[in-house]
Formats: sequence, structure tokens, C-alpha cells
Amino acid sequence: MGQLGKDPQHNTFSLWQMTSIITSTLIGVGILTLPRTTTEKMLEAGWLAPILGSIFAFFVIWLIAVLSRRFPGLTFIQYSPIVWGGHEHSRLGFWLSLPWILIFIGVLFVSTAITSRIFGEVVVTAVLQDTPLEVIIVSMFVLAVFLCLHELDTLARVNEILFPLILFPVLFIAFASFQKAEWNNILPLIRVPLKTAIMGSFETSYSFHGYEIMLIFFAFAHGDTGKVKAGFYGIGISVFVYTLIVLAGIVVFGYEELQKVTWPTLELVKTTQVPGLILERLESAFLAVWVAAVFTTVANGYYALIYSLRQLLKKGMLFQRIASIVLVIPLFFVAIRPQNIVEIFNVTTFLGYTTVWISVVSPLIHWLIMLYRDRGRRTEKRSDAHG
Amino acid sequence: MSQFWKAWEKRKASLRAAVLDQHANKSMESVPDTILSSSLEENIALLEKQLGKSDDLVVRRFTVKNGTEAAILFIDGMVDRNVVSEYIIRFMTSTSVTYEKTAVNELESTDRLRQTIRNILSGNAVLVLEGQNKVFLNNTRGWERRGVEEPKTESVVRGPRDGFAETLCVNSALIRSRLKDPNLRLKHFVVGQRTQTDIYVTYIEGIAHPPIVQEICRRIEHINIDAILESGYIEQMIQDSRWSPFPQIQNTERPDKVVANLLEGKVAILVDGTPFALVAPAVFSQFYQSPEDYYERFYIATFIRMIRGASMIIALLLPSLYIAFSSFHPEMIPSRLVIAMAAGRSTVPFPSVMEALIMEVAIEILREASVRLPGPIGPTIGIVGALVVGEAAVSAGLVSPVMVIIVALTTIGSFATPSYSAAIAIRMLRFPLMLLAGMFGLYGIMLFIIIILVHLSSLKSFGVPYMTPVSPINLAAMRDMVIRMPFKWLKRRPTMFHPQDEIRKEGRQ
Amino acid sequence: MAKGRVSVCCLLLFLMMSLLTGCWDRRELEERTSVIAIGIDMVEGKKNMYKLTVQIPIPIKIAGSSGQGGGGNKDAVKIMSVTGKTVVDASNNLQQRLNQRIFLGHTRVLAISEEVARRGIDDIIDAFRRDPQIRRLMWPVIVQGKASDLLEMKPGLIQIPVVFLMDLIENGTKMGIIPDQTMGEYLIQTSNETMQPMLNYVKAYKDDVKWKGVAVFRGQKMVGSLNDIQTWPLLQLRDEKRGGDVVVPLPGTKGGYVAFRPHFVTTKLKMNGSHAAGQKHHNGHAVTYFCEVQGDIVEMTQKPQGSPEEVIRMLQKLFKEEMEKRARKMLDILQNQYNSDILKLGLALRGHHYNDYWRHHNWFKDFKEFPIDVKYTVKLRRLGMEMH
Repeated sequence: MGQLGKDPQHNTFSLWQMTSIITSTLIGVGILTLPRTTTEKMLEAGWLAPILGSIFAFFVIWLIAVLSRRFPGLTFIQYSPIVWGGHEHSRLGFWLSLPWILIFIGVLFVSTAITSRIFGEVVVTAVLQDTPLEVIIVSMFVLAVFLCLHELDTLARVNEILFPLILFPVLFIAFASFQKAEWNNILPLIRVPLKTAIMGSFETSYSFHGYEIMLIFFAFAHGDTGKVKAGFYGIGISVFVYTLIVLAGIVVFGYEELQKVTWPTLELVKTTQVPGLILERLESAFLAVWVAAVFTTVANGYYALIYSLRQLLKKGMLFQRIASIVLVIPLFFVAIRPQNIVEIFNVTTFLGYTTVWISVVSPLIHWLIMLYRDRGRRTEKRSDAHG
Repeated sequence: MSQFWKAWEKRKASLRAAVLDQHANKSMESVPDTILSSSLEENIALLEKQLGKSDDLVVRRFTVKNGTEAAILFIDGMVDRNVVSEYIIRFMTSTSVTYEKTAVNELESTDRLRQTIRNILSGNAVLVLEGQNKVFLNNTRGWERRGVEEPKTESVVRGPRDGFAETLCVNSALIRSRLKDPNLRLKHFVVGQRTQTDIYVTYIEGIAHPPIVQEICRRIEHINIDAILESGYIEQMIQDSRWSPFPQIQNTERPDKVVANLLEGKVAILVDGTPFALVAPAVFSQFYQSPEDYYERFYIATFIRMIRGASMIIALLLPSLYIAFSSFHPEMIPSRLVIAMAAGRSTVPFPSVMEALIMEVAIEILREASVRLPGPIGPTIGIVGALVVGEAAVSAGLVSPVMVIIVALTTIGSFATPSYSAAIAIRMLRFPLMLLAGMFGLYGIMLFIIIILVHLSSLKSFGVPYMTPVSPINLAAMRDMVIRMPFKWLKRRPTMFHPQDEIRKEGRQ
Repeated sequence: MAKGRVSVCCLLLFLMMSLLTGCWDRRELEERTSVIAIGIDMVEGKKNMYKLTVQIPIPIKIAGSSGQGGGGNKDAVKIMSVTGKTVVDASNNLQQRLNQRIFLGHTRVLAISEEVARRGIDDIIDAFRRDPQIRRLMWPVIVQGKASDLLEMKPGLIQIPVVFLMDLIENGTKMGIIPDQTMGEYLIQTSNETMQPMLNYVKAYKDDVKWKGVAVFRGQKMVGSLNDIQTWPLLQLRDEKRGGDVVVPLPGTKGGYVAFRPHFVTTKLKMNGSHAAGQKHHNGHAVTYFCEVQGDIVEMTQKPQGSPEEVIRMLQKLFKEEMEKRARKMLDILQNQYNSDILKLGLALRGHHYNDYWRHHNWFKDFKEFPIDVKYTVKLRRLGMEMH
């Protein structure tokens, strides 16, 4: 509207906003099954899995931040052609970078769809048993589209405001269930062979996927805020939350029981009893509040997707609005594609693997090429490369 | 597609502008801005003609002591007749000093017809002299006006009892008398083609952020409307998002509130003809603040703010939570209570959504009725409505007893909000929330809360994000917005309004 | 201002759509039949047929719930029985006899008859595990005799009979004399390979109910029970709960008794045995429970001889011996009679002696032979309001 809106201070992300974007994107439906998936291979030591698995995530977010620092103000969509073709061969760069961009968009697309599907699945099995799954999925998409109608700074503020709403219920549940803890459940500390432990941790690392949206959003950081710092904070908080909830699951249930329940975190909520609280069974309330966490995951992913498309095609806000509405239709069909719960978990596992590789390989290659180019240029001119 | 869209927008804008241009010519601009002549009779005739020989236009002729023929023109009822007869007519007929030295203040002269007409219409007496091709404007405004009274909408237990009145100069004086700062600026605007309403944009130079002041002035200058009858007109013409149910500009009747806001670097807009001043930019949290928070000690103020927050949540959520719990998640209600509630509901013929909707609509009707009714009857209606109808509905088995409690709590909760415009937004949002709760239970409630939060986060008031200091987080401002710290820690002004002078006071307490 | 218009349109569309399509899960309170307790018996004379008995409160009959009705508390609940091959089959039969949908979200007690429990309850529990409405904090109990008797009792003090049992158990767990065995605990104990489950064991009378101790399981089959006196040491050793009062004859008097009420219990489990790998069998593996009990004398029907110091020393020794005797008795029953580790001892062993003991043993069989010792320390703190 007014010129005030164009104040640069307002349209960029602060450190805290970036941290909350990362954390709230990571924390989504994964946490509902995390205690089961981590203990599958690591048994009692499952709570170590998020910590070990996060090393990977820390490395990638560092790569992404470094790339973004090299091209300040540019998103992955914008700097990828520059990396591949330099400023001289922009056409070549565009075609070389296109596959990477398309893979990035594709992964975002599928993972957004599956996330909303899983959440729909939980809601339908646990709370609203007679409501069609499609309605839940569509309602989630409506929220995501609603966010996509707004400017980018709204996204940052929404994440910031929902951030405590996401953290509070998990922390509450985790700490409340420590009252019933049976600490012998986490012993012996490591009994599985090291190889299994590493495999188990690696599988956990896909519960960290989602940080790849920072390929887009790091471009909008305040000039002087530490992107690496924001990335590390964001992933650090998620690791803390993940570890805590897995630990709570293990000490309350033991790994054997965790293998038997579909939604271990929800069962954890079921065993929690708060003395003096008027309400008795908190799982419906927990799931309701959890809508916020899933919303941030789905909507951030969807926003990044739409924004990438917008930048790829060099369109404006109007395109973003129309595209966000139109793209919901294919998204919906992807979401309802898997037939049953077992298939969904298979897709998630597969998606996890692919995402991990893509989110590592893609920034890594870009980074290496960039290093190579920079070196070449430096020897050539002794002057600073493009800033 | 987008080309078409843009073209369409442009065309609509140009059409709108053209229509407004047409209207603009009809009012004051229809008066030819000619120069007056030096003949008394001609001038009088000209003025009478322009005012259409209106019967309340008084033309009083007299002769000045030195023999000059003169006339004084004013609108009956708008001038202080005492001033006119005592200080102008008698003075000029009895003494031979020149007319520049009449005892009336603000004596100006003009030779323009349009300005003369405007002055007559705003209650000034115009002195026309034979042989002068200019007229003398005397400030004789003195129509019957309401005095300074206690504000009706924002009462406090402790705090000043004076509120704004309908007269602009009284209102600006109320601010001046509280704020003897030479940097206080009042910028005058005239808005409304037909009403020619006077407006003061008030701010403290050196504190208020100049771009915000400029933006407000710019938007006021761009207002294109024929009538401004209340500050609400201005509010709606200059707010950022017209689709939002939330007020983006604060209105207040209290001079102390305006002064406090000016000192935070905000801008106040005073409008002639209404006791409600506007304060911009506004953020969400300030609608839940009352000046009293600063008059009481900080513990009490913080506690009361928390109560207000709780009551806002109750007003927004309670009926929909009742619906969600009773028809979707009865397992969450303790077993003993659920049996009692089921017994209470056993005779109710509607689902709980309908029950809640009916009761909430009923209470809104009651509220509106008691606002409109003359003072002494209002409370009676409240009692009749709430007690008699509620009790009768329960014993007739139309609503369950719990529902009556819920509705009562909701209504009382919404009245605990200091700002009427924010409270009414919350009350309105309750209804879609109830519908969604009736469809998806707690899930639906959360969906709508997220929609509200996204919307609130997208709002901006003159460049200030609406949800500050919660998002973007501003810990320094939180000290003053969410809780209320002792004055010792409130040394700096809230930074979100970009005050130029951040330090409120120096040194130690 | 296209943004505002589009978003408003979107919201309206969404709202209209949802309004038109309806509300799938909305079911009012009075449209649900809240089952407050379920009882499971065998059908007499038939194999593999379960009799499901449910207790349903009738809201308008409950006094104080609304203006009208109340009183006549004889019929405050409705009791229905159906049979079926499985639990779900029986509840389907029940649904066919009810006007509203069955709602299990408020089921607080699952009563299983001893006969069913001795045959194994894994097939019953599965249905309860899958149903999302079932609480993990529900109280499953084993009923001596028929489970339907428990549901049909009329305690009189309270209108819904099962609430009486529920309060009894809940207050008992709060006082530390009844184990906190909820559905969730039972499920954990059945899936965990290191321990065996147990459930509270009650007997129903015509107008009340008595807690009789715990039913001990092996696998998912009930193998026997511990009475109240045997359960309390279990609580002290396993959960550090205080257990009930200990009443013993006072030595040196004629027919005098003294009663001791434990208040604070701290238990330490000391595990002996080498951590060195490669050793077969449990050479040296043994555990000792060190249990310190602090408590008061609450009754002394006759006065003992001697100075107060001597009396206290004498009493401490007396209770120490008595409590050790009771604990050993309990361990003896568990090890030799039932061979069922409900002590969660296996969990501790697996945690601390995984490589040197657990890997080489089958706890399910070997619990029987594992040496367990108990050492009590009794600390008398107060003598009540009376000196001596």
C-alpha cells in the first residue's frame, strides 16, 4: 500500500524468524511416529538416533547457508543458473540448473502432499473417525493456500507466532510423562552393533527433511544476520525436541511397546494425566494444537514451492495467488494416492531417503562448482567475484 | 491474464476518480473564487446570493462612528451574539478607532469570496465596510456545545474524568493542557467536500517517526468523500486493509490516552464534531490496554492485563469449545460432569451448535437493544433478558443449563475488553468459529484460529506489523505491552513505532 | 486490494462447502450410549463364547444432574448382557439392541472374570488396544467369580456402581496400598519381554466390592493371585509405595497387638555378579533389595515392658523381621509357584547386566532360580498422639 511497506527492515527475516521457520518446518507429522521409527533398529538407544542423525542436517544447513551467503539476496532458483553458467553463459546456466530446480520443486511437492496425508490419517484414526480423509486434507490445503495469498513477510511472522504453540505441547507432554518414567528402559546404553546404530541414525535423518526450503528463504535474511547461526539454532531446537520426545517414549513405554503402537506420541499423550485439569483425555486437544505444527510444515513447503515456480517463471504476486490455488488440485491427488497406512509409511521412508540425498547432493555440487569457479576467477583477475 | 487484470483495475480506478471529480465541483468549489468589490451593497448582495438567501443568515447594518456604513454578517446560532453586539457593534459605533483594533480575537481580512463564505459557514462574523474591497473575519464562534464530560465508553476506576467533546478547539486544548511541549504539532486539514470538516493531525516532533506522519497526511489528503460526520469515516478511509474485521486505528475519548500515545511516537487525528480521536499506527495488543494500567501499581496492572487476555480468549472460544467438547469429544469431559451434562441436554431438541447459535444471537440482540434504549431502561432489559428468558428457556427444556452459563461468561468476557471496536471484532468472529466447531470439533476451531493468526500477521498499520511485539518479536516492547513492568524499566519508548527519541527518561529512578 | 477479495472469497467458499456437506462426526451427548464399564465372562457350557456385560448410566435418573428426575437411585444404571465369539462380535450384538451408538470414551473399568483370565486374555485385549476411544488409563480388573456380578452390585453410597470401584482403586493407589495397574501399564508389561503383567484382583459382593490383591499373569494367562498382605511388599520393592499397615502380636504380652504404618519407602536394588563376559550361567549373579521403611506406630493394644529406647529398638526389629518374612513369602510364591516376574527385576537385569547375564539366559524360564534376597530397615519415627 504505502511507501512504508517498502521499508527494507520489514520485508526481511530476522534471526529469530529464520530459526522459527526452520524448526516449525522440521517439526511436523514426523514426531508422531518418531519414537517408533527410531527404536526400530536402535532399540533402547533410540534417543541417540536424532542426535546422531542431526549431524547430517547440520552439515547441509551449513552448506545451504554458505551458498546463500555467497549470493546474498538471491534464492536457489536465481543463483543456480549463475553457478552453472556464470554471468556470461546465462542461457546454458539456466538449462543446466533446470533439472536441479525441478527435482527440488518435485520433492517439495510430494513431501507436502504426503505430510498432509499422514496428518489426515492421524486425525481420521484418532479423533474424527467418520469424517472423510479428503475433507481433512483439503482443509489443510485451504490453510496453506490462504497463507500463499499473502506476502513473504507474513509467512515469517506466522511462523514466529506459531512457534511457541508448536513447542509448548511437545515439551509439556514430554516433561509430564517423565513422571511415569521407568529409567531402566534406556539401559543398556548400546547393545546393537555400531553398523546398525549408524543405519538407524541415518534413517532418522529424514525426519529432519524440510530444511531444504531454506534454499529459498535464506535469501530474505536481514543483511547482517547470521544464516549459519539461524540454521544451527533451528536444527538444534528440533534435535532437542526430537530427543526429548523419543526419550519420553522409551522411558515410559520401553522399545517393545513402542513397536506395537502406530502413533507412539499420541499414546504418550493418552497416558498423561494432569492433576487438577478439568479436561481428562488430552489426545484430541493435542491433535488440535498439533494442527499448527503440521500447518507450518505444509504451508512453508507449499509456499517455497509456489515461490520457486514464481521465480522460475519470473512472475509476480498475482501469479503466486493463482498458482497456489490451481496447484492444490494435483497436490490433492498425490496426497490421496497411497491406499493404506502401510503404503504411506513406505512412501515416507522412500521419500526420506531421496530427500536426504537430494538435499545433500544438490547444495554440495553447487558449492563445489562455485568453489572451482571462484578459484579460477581469482587466479584470473585477483579481484572479488560477483557479490 | 495478469495484463487483463491490471487493465481492469486501472480502468476502475479512473472511473472512480472521474465520478469523484464531478462531485467535488458541487460544493465549496462551486463558489467562484472572485475578488470582492469595494461597494458594501454589492458585497452583501454577493454573499447573500451565494448562500441562497438562507433565512438564518443575519445581516446587521450599522454606522461606524466615523460615518462609514458597515454591516456584519453571520449565521444565526453559530456565533456568540454577546460578542457580536458588545465587542464589535457597540465598540465600532462608539469609538473612532480603526476596525483593525476591535476587541475580538483572530481578526483577519480577506478579499476572496470563497474564504469569506467558508468563514461565515464555520461561525465567524464577517465585517463588511463601505469603501473597502476586503472583509474582516472575526472569530465569534460560540454555538451551544456540550461541555467536557466524563467519557461514556471508556470509564476508569482511577484516572482523569474528562473526555473529549464535539468541538475541535476544545479537544486540542485538552491535549495541550496535558502536554506543554513546544514540539507538539497540530496540522490542520479540511476534509469532505460538503461538510468541510476540520481535522488536526497531532504529533510530537522529535518523537514521531516522520515517514509515518507523512504517510498519514498523504492518506488524509487523498480522502475523496463528500461528508465526514465522525472520525470513523477517516478511520475507514485511511486504514491499511479494508477487509479486516480488526480495527487498525485506535479510537478513544480520553485525552490522557491520546497524550500517552503521542508520547510513544504515535499520531493522533482529531476530527471536528466527534469526541472520538483516532490514534495511529495501532497494534493488536494496545486494544487490550487501558490508561489505568499506568495509574495503578505494576503488579495490579499486569494482573489486570492477564485477566483481560483471559476474558478475550473466553469471549472468542468458550461457546465453540462447548460445542466441540459436547458433540465431538465427550471423552475429554470428566465422567461425572458428562453425565450431568447429558441429563441437562436430554430435553433439548437441537444439536448443541444450534443451541449455542440461538443463545449467542439472542444475547447479541439483547446487547444491541440495551445499547439503543434510553439510559434508565437499558439495565432493566438486561435483567429481563438474561435472567427471565434464560431461566424460562432452561425450565422449558429449550436450552441446557450449562449453555446459559457459557453464554453469560462469553458476554461478560467480551465486555472486559477496554476497546469497543476490538471487542466487537472478537464477538463477530465467534460465529464462524462456532460453525466450524460444529463441523470438525477442536480441529475446526484450530483451523479458524490459524486463519485468524495468519490474517493478523499479514496486517500492518502504517507499516507497523499488527502483531508486534509478539511477532516480529520485540522483547523490549513486550515489557510494556504484554505485561507492565515498573516505570524503572520503561526507560525507552516502544521501538516498533520507530520513535526518533527513544529515551523516555534519563538517569535513575 | 485483490488479496483481500480473493482471500475473503476463498474463505466463504470453504465455509459454504463445509456447511453444505455437513458434519460427519457430530454426535451429541444424548446421542451416545456411554458405557461406563464392561465385564467379560465365559458363556456357561459353551466354548469360545464370551458374555459381554455393560453398565450404562441413565443421565436423567442421576440425582442432582438436572432439576427434574433424580431420586430413585435403584435404576440409575442399565445393565445389559450379550454374547459373541469375540469382543467386537458381542459389542455388535449389543449395538443391535441399543437405540444410540455405543461410546467407549468413558469406559473406566474393564472387569474380566477369573475363568477368562486363566484361559488367556490376549484375544480380548487386542480389540481394546485398537479402539482409539479406549483410555489407556482405564482400570482392568480380574474378578473372582463372575464379572457380571461386579457390574450388578449395588453399593448404595454412590449411584453408578462402577464409580464406586473406580474410586476405591484410585484412592487405594493414592494411598499406596493398591498397585497403579492401568490398561496402559498392562499393555506395556505384556509387550515387554523382561516382565510379566499383573492386574488388580477383586471380589464382588451383593452390595459392595473388595480388593483382594493382584492377579499374577504369565504370558497373558493368569496363573494365580497374591493376597493383600503379599501385595504390599511387592509395592514396596517395586514401586516404593508404602503398602498397608502391618499388624503383629506384641511379644511379651498376652494377646496384645501392635500396628505399624509405613510412610516413606525407599528401595535400592543391589545387583551382584561380574560384568566380565564369557562366563556361562549366573555365577555370582544375585540381587538384594534394600528397603528402608519409615513409619509410625498407630496402635498398641497393650503396653510393653522396658524403657522407651528399648521398646523402639525391639519394635523395629520386630517389624523388620515381619516385613522380611512377608517379602520372602511373596518372592517364594512368585518364583516357585507362578514363575512370573512382576517385580520388573528382569528389566533392571537387562539394563545393568546385559552382556554378562541377560544374553545367556532365558528369563522367562530362569526367573525361578534367580537368587533374590530382601533386607528391610525399619525406622520408627513417631508414636502417634500418645507417648509410649
